[in-house]
Amino acid sequence: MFDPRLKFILVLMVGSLAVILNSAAALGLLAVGCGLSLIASGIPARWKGRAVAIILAIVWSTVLSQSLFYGQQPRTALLEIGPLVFWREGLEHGLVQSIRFIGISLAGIALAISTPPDKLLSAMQKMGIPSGLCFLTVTALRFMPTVGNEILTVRAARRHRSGGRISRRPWVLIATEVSLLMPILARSLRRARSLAESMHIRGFDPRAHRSSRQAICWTLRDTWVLMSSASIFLSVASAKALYLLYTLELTYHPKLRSLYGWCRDWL
Amino acid sequence: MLRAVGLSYRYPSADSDAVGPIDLKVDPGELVVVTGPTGSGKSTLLRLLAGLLQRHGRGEASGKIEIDGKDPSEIAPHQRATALAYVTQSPGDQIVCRSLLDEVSFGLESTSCDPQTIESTALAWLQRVGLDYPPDLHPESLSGGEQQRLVIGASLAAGAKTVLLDEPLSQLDPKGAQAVIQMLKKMTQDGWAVVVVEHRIQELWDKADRFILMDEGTILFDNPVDSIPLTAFRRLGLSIPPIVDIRDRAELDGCQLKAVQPPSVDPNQTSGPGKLLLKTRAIEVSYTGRKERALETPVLAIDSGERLAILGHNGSGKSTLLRELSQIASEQSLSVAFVPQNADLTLFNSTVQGEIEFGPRERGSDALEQRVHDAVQALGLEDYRTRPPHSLSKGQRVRVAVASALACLPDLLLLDEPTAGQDAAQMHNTMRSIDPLLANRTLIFATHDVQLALSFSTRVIVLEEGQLIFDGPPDEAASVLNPVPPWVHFCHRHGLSVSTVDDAYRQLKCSTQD
Repeated sequence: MFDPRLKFILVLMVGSLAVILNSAAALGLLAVGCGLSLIASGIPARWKGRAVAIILAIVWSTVLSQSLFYGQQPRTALLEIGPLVFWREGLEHGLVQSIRFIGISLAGIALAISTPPDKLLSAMQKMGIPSGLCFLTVTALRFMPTVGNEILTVRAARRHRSGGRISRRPWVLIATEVSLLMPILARSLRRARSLAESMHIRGFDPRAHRSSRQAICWTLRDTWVLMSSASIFLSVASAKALYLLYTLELTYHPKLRSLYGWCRDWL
Repeated sequence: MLRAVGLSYRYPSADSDAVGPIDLKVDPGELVVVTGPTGSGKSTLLRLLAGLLQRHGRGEASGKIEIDGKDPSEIAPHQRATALAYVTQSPGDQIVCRSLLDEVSFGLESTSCDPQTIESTALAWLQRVGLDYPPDLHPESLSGGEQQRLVIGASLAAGAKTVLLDEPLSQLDPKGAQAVIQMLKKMTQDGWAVVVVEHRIQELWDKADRFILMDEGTILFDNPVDSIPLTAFRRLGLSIPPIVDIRDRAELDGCQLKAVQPPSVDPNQTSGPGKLLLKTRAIEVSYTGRKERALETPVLAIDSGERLAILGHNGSGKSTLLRELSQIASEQSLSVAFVPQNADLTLFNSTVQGEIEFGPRERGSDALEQRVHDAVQALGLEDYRTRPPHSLSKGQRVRVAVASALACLPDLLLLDEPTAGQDAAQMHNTMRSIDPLLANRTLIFATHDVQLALSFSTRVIVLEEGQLIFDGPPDEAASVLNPVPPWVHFCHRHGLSVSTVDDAYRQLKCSTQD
């Protein structure tokens, strides 16, 4: 088990790389790495199928919408069906955007699943993040699956009451969908009050010092992982920065031509 | 020791005090039960005693509280945790960690306990609250009663010697409730002062040292159990243990109880079962990651007009069976209405009226107004028609959810714990009032309340660890229950069919008159 602070730094690096990189291949590789770390973090078996379905849905919907509504020039028509035109550049842009989002999300989920809440709380506090914010993050993660189940219950209740009928009028449909958030919100507020009172009465004070049963401990292995990851991250970031300076015609060095080519093709 | 003098609280924009003025003293070693009708100010009193409303409430608080010489509203949270513990209704909402050990350690860490002693103290508390499981077990694997005990242990671990509990039994089965009560009793023997706010006082009747009865924010009486004026309980519609109730009535009437022959059932009394409504397949449900089946039942045939009660401990598969029945009935094109355990999640309209109208309107049902009127009348919601459902009390919200389901006039109405959070009078009124509206429709309800199940059903299913261990008439179901409730013993001893207290007393009274 890695130190939660290391995991936090790794997630920040993944987030930065997802912003820096523009190549679908590099972003895909990053997302695969995050996916593998999620599997290694012990994701419940029943979630795997759902996760794959959600990923495919995100990629498909982003690619489809971007390829249809891509407005920048130049653009190349890939397929025309009547008035609908699918643009090649839009498709590529959609793919990059969706993989970027998936990579960051998988890294965040892996961090949340693999780190007990109290360790996460402790790590965030040690990193200087305000205690109140740390606690908010930790409890939000803790109750996310609960809220997910509640959403399913609300929808099932609506289905039962309406006998499975759904209004065809869009504004009625939208109003009903919005109203379905009401019980989730009310339940979350009640839960928040109950949790806040319980934590308060159990002595949690964001301003006070907390001791820790198992103090989080930074090991030599953590240092090695951090050094290697930081080296890769800094190398990629530096290469990308040099490439950016070249494309903006601010700096050019002939000895770096192969690096410029590699960045264009792979990053 | 807990002492409160002149304690009162007024909510913002209210004309009068919600609570008070109240004087109260609880000594170490005392188990004090605070009860009263819904809205009588019990929970407000508890939050005042915990110092929460003085510190965080927007209303006006006055009076003095002392717990071991300190005012809980004036000390820092980490200091208060060593003097006072407060446990709210829903244990699941109070658990933040992923293991039993971490959960109990949380309070110790917050009070800056020596890291060397945290683990041993937490393990000792897990043992004290009777959770002999691996310390790294996830709290979600525990039953409701066990979660309640975990939260109590987690709240007390920092060293508090006074504990305030808000309806700790409301979601527990009789066995789970017994375990919590025994634990509280043991704590009082070890010197803790315990204050419990509870509707379900039957189980606490012979365990509490004092009962405090509240109504409209004030204390009506504060007496030991042997000098409680039962008339006040009856007037407020609160539950009294049936045996105590019957003996008291007999004493008032100058009757002597004696055994009679079990009465013959009047076929006109309840709407009897009719033709076959639903035939299930053999149900088998397993959850991923668990070896044992969550539910395994044979083929069930359910008739129209049946009132089927599902009994069983927490985690025995009652809710799973209801969900499966709902799905099977939908597959067979029956109209189904289902009120889940957390009835709040079915309330998504802006007013009570809108909520009840929603189902019939969406289904395009005729006589919409009549249906809504009937449901509102039956559930006693006339005064709340224009109120937002989520602004009502828990018991009222459950009634709105039941009324909304009832207004759909479904072939099959499924209710999961419809009586949780309501006092005895409300519970029985709810069940009694929906019966005529349902007429020949079928009602299936899951409950922990054995007396309610045996009184209002024509058939009972008992589940144990996912297996169906009984399916038959209510009278016979009583013998397979574990533990067998004292009320059932009493009825059997007197040759009565297990029924409501009123029916039983009427039969007993007749026998003495004969």
